[in-house]
Amino acid sequence: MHREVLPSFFVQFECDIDASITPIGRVIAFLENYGFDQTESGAWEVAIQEGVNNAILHCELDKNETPHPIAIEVMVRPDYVEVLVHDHTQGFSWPISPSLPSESSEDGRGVYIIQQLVDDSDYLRGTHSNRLILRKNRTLPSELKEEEKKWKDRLKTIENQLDETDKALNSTQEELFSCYESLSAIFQFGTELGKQGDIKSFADRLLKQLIPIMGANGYLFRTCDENGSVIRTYSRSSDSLDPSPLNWNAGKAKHFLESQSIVIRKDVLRDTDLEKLEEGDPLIAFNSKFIQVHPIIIGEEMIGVLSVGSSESEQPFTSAQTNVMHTFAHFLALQLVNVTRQEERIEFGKISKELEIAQDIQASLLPSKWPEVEGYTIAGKCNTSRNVSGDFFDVIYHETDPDKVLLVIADVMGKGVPASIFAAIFRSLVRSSTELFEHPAELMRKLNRSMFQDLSGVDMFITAQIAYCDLRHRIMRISNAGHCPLLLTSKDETMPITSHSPEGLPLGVVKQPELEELEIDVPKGVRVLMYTDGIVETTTQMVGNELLGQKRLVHWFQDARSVDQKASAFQRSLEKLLRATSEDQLKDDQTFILLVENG
Amino acid sequence: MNFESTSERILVLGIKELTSANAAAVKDDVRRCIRPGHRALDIDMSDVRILDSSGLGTLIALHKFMCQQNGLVRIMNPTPIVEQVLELTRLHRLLEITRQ
Repeated sequence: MHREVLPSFFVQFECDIDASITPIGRVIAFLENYGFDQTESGAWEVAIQEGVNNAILHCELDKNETPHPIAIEVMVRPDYVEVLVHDHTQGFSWPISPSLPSESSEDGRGVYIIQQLVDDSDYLRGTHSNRLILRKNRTLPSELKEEEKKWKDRLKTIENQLDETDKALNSTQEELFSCYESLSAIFQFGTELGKQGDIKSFADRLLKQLIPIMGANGYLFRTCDENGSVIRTYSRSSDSLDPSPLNWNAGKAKHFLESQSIVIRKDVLRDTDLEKLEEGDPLIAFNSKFIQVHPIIIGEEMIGVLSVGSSESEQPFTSAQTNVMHTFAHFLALQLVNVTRQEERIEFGKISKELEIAQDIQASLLPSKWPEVEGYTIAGKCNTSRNVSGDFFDVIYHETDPDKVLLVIADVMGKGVPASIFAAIFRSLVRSSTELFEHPAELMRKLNRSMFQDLSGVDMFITAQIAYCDLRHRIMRISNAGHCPLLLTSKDETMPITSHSPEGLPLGVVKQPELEELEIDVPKGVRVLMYTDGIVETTTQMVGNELLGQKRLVHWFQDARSVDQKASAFQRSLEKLLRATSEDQLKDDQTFILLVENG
Repeated sequence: MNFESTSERILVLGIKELTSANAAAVKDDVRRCIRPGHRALDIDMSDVRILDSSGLGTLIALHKFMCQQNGLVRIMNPTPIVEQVLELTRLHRLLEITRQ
């Protein structure tokens, strides 16, 4: 608190008349410094001198005894001046009404003079010391009174400012203390979280710590579900609080305190004495006079709502307590988000691992070795744009006749896991249908029958091409279900490249599709290319970052047919063409099969 | 302290204060300067800053001394505080105050 500092002066000197001259002069100088005129200060000088005279006069000492010093103390007050003269003499009786001695008497006037010069005087006589008290009222001149009033007003203003500063300092101190407490708690719990990683029990302990800091008697912390319409109870201070989730934007709940806070995205404060809560509001269970609800938002996302009810306090929460609440809530929300993201990362890692396994399984379903068919080489490749593919190819050899080969290529609409599942089913069905090995159209119809319901149920379809090759009799039977055409040519440069695509709708589109079967002769030095649309729809630097397209593919095939003697050589050449894609990642799966006759 | 003396009058000048510190000395010095023919002792108190009861005692003693030789003491041009003390103690009736 501000304390007024008033002028005062103290001086001490030996119990001797000569030694008193300078100190008394200093006292007078002090008074004159505070606006005393010569008349006033002169009267004081006489009165003090008389007091000192008496002290020295009544000093009776034994032999070898040193006299105690005399002290003068002066206090200047707005309305009066008080002077104390302290001595350690035997003292004397202070006359209540001193009278003057006869005119001819040379002494005995000191006390009389003192009492005439001051308004009030007294002499307190003690065992070892005495005190002469002199008091004289001050009457300030009018101009000085005006000045005094101005200074008093100014002093009052300064005192008010000091009081305001005091309050601000107290408030700041309280805020700092609260911040310290909250930070301390957060650090403590943050360390625990790092050790234990149990976010739920961490939240319970953190929020219980909030209760004493806020002087509260209850809290309820709810988190939003994925679509944000329902908030679920995550932590509560007491079992008396209803743990049911709150659908904040439905029915009566729209008027509840937590709902209001979510809608306006700001704190809601309520003095329940002045404004009652809506019937059924879960926060009624706080039984608190003051309730504060804080929506927790990170970025634009509503994470949850923290509600706190005050205890017996008659005062609403202070700004410092509110700040603590916000800090705790934000910190907790960040931990929740971190944990959720960590869980998502773990889940993503699991999925990635599963996809890798699926990719390995799918790769194992594709032919990797090419048993030699006398006089022919076969190659194939499936480049996937994702971990798993909807493209599929297979090369199936006749169980008993090594000159008979079934070439199968298919493209399931879409990519990723769903497409790969259908590709795997497709493969199994083909492999299990050996009775239709030599009749690709029939095989295609069977595949459609088997898969139609599943494919149409999820609005998916499969394009496919199956080519049965009897290489001893040099015939090929082809069935096509909406797939890219089969390209056929010969090493003989005079033979044109022919494109074969018998009529047929993709599998899964109609229940009983019309599927043609085309039989063609296999020329000497034959070269066959079967491919998916990912091949021709890729952009490649080899052709100025344009789509490769079927024409350019045919052109490449034409150039390669006389140069490359084996399927593996064709494969390397084609992959070189495809590798020059302008983008790092494939937009679509790329699959092809090559059948090349030696020589 | 200075003295100016004629056959009937002696003038004391230059007293700055008259208190217990110097009252006895002033009394003795002035007495030594007074001659039998002196009828008036004029004390110039225009420079006296303080006069206390001891100083008053000196003035009374000098007054009695002058009375013995049919003389008198006059306080000349006293300062306000001197005049105030003299009046408070009624000695302005005993000691003649003059102004020049």
